[in-house]
Parts: sequence; structure tokens; C-alpha cells
Amino acid sequence: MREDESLKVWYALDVVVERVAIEAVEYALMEAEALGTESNQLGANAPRDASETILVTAYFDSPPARERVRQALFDALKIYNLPSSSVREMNVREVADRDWLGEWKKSWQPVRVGERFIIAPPWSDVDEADARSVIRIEPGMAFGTGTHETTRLCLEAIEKYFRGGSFLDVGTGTGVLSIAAALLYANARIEACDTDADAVEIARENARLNNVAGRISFRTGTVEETTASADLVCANLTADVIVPLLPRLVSATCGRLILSGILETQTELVREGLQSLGITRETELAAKGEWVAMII
Amino acid sequence: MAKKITGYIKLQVPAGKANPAPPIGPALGQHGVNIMEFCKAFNAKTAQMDPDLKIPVVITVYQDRSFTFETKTPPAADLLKKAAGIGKGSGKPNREKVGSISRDKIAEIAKTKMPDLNTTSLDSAVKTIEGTARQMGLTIE
Repeated sequence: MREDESLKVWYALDVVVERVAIEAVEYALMEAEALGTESNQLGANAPRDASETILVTAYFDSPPARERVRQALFDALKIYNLPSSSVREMNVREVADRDWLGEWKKSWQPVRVGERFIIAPPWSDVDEADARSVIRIEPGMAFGTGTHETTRLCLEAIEKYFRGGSFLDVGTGTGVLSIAAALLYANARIEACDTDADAVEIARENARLNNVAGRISFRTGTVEETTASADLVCANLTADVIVPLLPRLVSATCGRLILSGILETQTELVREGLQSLGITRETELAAKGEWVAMII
Repeated sequence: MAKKITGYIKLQVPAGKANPAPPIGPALGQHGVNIMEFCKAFNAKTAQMDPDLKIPVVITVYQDRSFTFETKTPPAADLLKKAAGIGKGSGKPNREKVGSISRDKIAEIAKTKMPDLNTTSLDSAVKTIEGTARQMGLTIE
């Protein structure tokens, strides 16, 4: 992901506004085609003086047209019935593109998951004496660095329910779950798919990093009616993607099915989908924070 | 032990479209927050929302660089534009009307916006939203 890093420049427009005008100004900046806005807000205990000033920064991918921004601010303040004096200052500055993801990576440390895994970035040292399986994951563009609750729930379910045989990973992301299954059982038959071709490429790369590339069959796509059934099927997606896929996921399962990436508030939605397929109860409902994994 | 909070960051991002580019990359990067995990969580939470809506989100960053976030309601003017099916408010709201909106829809938006309007009275929330609608050149029917 290093191409053109030195060339790309973003434009930040800093606007100092009175607290009372934050929503109006944020609305105006988005109307003026900002990519998004940022403001550093104070906590719940902070003073709520409406005339206190706040810095709102809007980011653009080309230099913002001053007149357009001024007009958008003028219109928005009028809509919100605020005086033009609520906007105090405006300044544009250039923001050089940086590898923001890369800078975060530097602070990434190995994470122990469940009883049997450590997820570590390729550059970090792991204690050799540790009996856990080390999963090396390059945190790239695809989702799933192993630290997220949804991934941890899946890994814990895999170590609990996978006893070898076949494994199907729907929405593989970085490939972390398939790699975990491959490290647990050398003879397992593992198939991993993702609709995002970039994710599949990264997952393949991660499999190579863990010396299990030859044991996982990767493809771009999702679970199909023709997909071979597996002893353990894992779908770490989001509830809105899982629900319509349920008939195919269930028919591809000949042992257990792990559904993850579900917010606690979406549990019933998934249950209703399962009930329509005649599945009235799950084997286990595991939870971390606001996320749940349903094991069928 | 309560985790120590090191910062609050408020961003405004289109629903379901978080990615590591600005504003998310620089805003979260400087706090050491896992950018991709935020994007995944935000996109999951907003996947079913209208992608044209800009969702304000407040991220709380803790000392261990872990974070939580809370999505807020979109700007009232955005909700009004959607509800009235207009692309832009009127520059001269008293003279040039750009559309109309029903009282029911105003009440619905007022209810949605209540948590962010600093009021517990639905009546006063409705008045605020009505005021915004009129200033955009919408007639209330």
C-alpha cells in the first residue's frame, strides 16, 4: 500500500466555532463536499458554555473552494438561526498523506486469545517457551487483526468445537480463523472465501507467513449452494450479511456453525432467521462487550 | 478499576463508509486507536442506515489505546432534507419555498433528535425542528 504515498496531499480546513454552532458548521462543511469532520470534544463534565469555542476540522481531497465553504456556512447558520459571529476563524492547511495504519501497527503487540493462541504481528518477538500456537498476522487492508471481540469469539469457539476434519471460513478477512484451524489440525481440509478480492490476497499472504498456505483453499466469493459441506463452518460477518446467507450456511454445515460479528442487539434478528429454517435454539451464545457469537 | 480516558474525538462520517483516509486515519492515528477495528465496528453499526446520511460519532479513547464509540443522530437539516425529498435548502426561505413536510414527520425527527437537543420536552424539540425546517424554506403542513 505504498504507492503514491509521497504525492498525495489532503486539505484540512480548521474552523473555530462557538459550541452552540457545532452541528450547523459540521452540516455546512459536509454540504461543501468535505470527506468528514473532526472535533475534539470535551467530556461530560466539561463546562457547557454555549459561547465556548471548539475547533472543527473538515478534510477534503482537493483544495476547498473558499466561496463555496463560506456560502455553505452562511446558509447553515441561517437554517439553524445562529449569528454569523458563531464562526470565529477559518484556515486551510495541507496534510501530507501518512501511513496512519502503519503508525498504529508500530504499537501493535501480541495478543493471547483463548487457551491456545497468540496473535502476533510479523515483526514482534514471542516467547518461545509459550506452548500456544502463534498466528502471525500482518494487519493490512482487510478486517480482522485478531484483537477484535468478534474474532476472539470465533477463535475461542474454534478451539472448543473444532476436532479436525473440514472447516469452512466465510468472510475470511485476514485469514486468521483458517490459519488457526490449520495450526490446530495439520490434516484438516480448509476452505476460505471472501467477497473482497484484496482480502483473499492478504489472507493468502498471511497463510504463507504461517507456513500453512498449501493447506487452505482460498477463493473470492461467498458460500454457495454448491459449496462442499464442512464439519465446522465459521461466518464472522455482520448480522445484515449473515441473515440472508443463513439457508446456505446451514446447508453447508454438517457439524457446528459459528455465527459472529453480531451485535447483542441483533441477536433476535439472527434467531428469527434461524427459526424460519427450523433451528429453535443455539448450542452456545458467547459474548464479549457488545458482540455475540452464536454457535449452532 | 475504571480505565482512564485520554480523549474524546468526534467525527462525522457517511453511514457505512468508514475507511482509514482522513478524517479517521489522522484523528484516530494520533491517539493510537486501531483504525481498522473502528471502521469495521462503525460500518457494522451503520450498515442499515441511508448511506447519504452523515453520522456523527464520538469516540472515547482510553489510556491502553482501547476505545469505545457512540453514534449520534445526523444533523437535523440532513434529516429534514431526506424527509422532504429535497437536495438543498432555500437561500431565501421566506420568499422561495423548496418543499413541504408534514407535522408527523417533524415530530418523528424531533423524537430522533431529542437526545442531542439538550431538552426533555418533545414540544420544545418539535419547535426547534420546525424552526429549522422553516429556515430551509420548507412549509409545514
